[in-house]
Amino acid sequence: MRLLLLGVLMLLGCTPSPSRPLVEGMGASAPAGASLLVRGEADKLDEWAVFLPVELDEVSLGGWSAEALRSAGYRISVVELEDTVESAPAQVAGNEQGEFLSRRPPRRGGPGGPPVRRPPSLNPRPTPRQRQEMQRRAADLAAVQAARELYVQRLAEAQALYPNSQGYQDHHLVPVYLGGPRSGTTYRIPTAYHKLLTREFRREWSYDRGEPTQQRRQEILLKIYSQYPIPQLIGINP
Amino acid sequence: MREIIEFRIGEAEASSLLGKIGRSLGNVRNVRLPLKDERVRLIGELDREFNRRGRSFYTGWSISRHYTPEEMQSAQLFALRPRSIFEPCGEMCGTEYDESEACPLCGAGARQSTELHLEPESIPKRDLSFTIAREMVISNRLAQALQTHGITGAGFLPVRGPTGSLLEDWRQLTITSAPVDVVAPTLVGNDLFDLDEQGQYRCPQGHVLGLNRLSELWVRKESYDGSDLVRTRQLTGARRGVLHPKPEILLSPKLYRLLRELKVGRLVVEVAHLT
Repeated sequence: MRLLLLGVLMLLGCTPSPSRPLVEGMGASAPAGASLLVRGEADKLDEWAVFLPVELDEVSLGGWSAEALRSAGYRISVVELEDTVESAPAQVAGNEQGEFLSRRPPRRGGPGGPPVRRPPSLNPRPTPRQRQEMQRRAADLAAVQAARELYVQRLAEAQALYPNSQGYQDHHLVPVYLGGPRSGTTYRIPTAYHKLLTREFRREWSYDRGEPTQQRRQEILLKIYSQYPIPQLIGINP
Repeated sequence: MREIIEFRIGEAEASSLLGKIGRSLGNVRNVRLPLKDERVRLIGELDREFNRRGRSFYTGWSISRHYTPEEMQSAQLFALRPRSIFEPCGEMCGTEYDESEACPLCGAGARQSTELHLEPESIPKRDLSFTIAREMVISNRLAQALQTHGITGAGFLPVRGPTGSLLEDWRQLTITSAPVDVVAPTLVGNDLFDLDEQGQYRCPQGHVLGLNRLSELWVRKESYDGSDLVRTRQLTGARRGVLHPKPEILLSPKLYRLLRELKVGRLVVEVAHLT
């Protein structure tokens, strides 16, 4: 009987979904996956952060490789977007400011209830390496959150600047005019945001400027994407 | 002749290291200085310092040259600087290139094997434009004017849309004259402070001289056949994606004057020298 009731509840969708949106409140849901987080100097964790696809394929990115970034001194880490990001707290409907809702205390254990939380097993103090890893993960998480806020802000700027640009366009991660391959990695982003990105690229390197070296092109890409993140790479599906 | 160099420098770096020079464009600053200005050397040193840490102090740069009317009057040839540039280029719209005879080292020598295909709505409404791959597109009006005035060295090919339909208003301008040779003291390199001593962007077989031309252009007099529209045999640039190494395009004074009379927009030239 208890099993039958559980089955009915699952069918009605009452069980918490394992794949909930990662960015509630932004009007977007995050695709599962990971991104490559590129940072600048080691002693300035909050200096800037750029999110790139994990598969930094040299061919599809026109010679832009993780190895080239590493050799240029950038710090690279992989950020698991789905596992590390907490959704924004949803507001409780009808709960006005200053008003307190009384609730029944959560029931632990008992028939039908969630299992009783077990006390942690003997938990040794984290090693320095584990502590460092925890700090890095926390910093990465903060970078993801900051990039999402930046994206929302930039998107609003773009929509204000190009109010008539509706729909979506494909954006080459390495622009074709900078030598990126025609069949290179593309992202479908809002048209207004694409126009803003294009404008920023041309401010750094306009069409009539000859050709940049590989290093200067890399610098342009990192500069632009640290200010104008690609939404898919920070867990936002535009 | 006045030479002006323009840099694009990140606003944060510019404000901390250069003070208030230049004009802010948001996240990037536009700094224009005479080439001989002391601050140009400072920017070069800062860039070298940044390079040691795997970074660049400036991103974009370009050199523009400005002449007196007398210098323009006495010029023997003009090097055309493309200003009206658009994408998508031919290869992105169905134009095919045959690279079987191209240099395996630098990619020079790829031959356009089909007519030029372009998206009609992306062609600027100007008489003379270039794609990002430096395919030249001219208006029908300009093509007729060039033919009427007997301009030599120019060929006119049809332009088609991505589906193959003929674009009546446009023609591809090709260069049919014999190429001229680039000679010293023409300076080619990565940028003003990096002459590519290691030859990273130079073809060992001599097809590509380097990434960018940094000085005025000098060409060998004996290689010039007197045509109005000429290209150089040696190329600059690199084979990347749809981009190919490209020749410099030279105009005779007659052709330059005609383009001025026809009020061709975004026409920027530099004086080129025969030696």
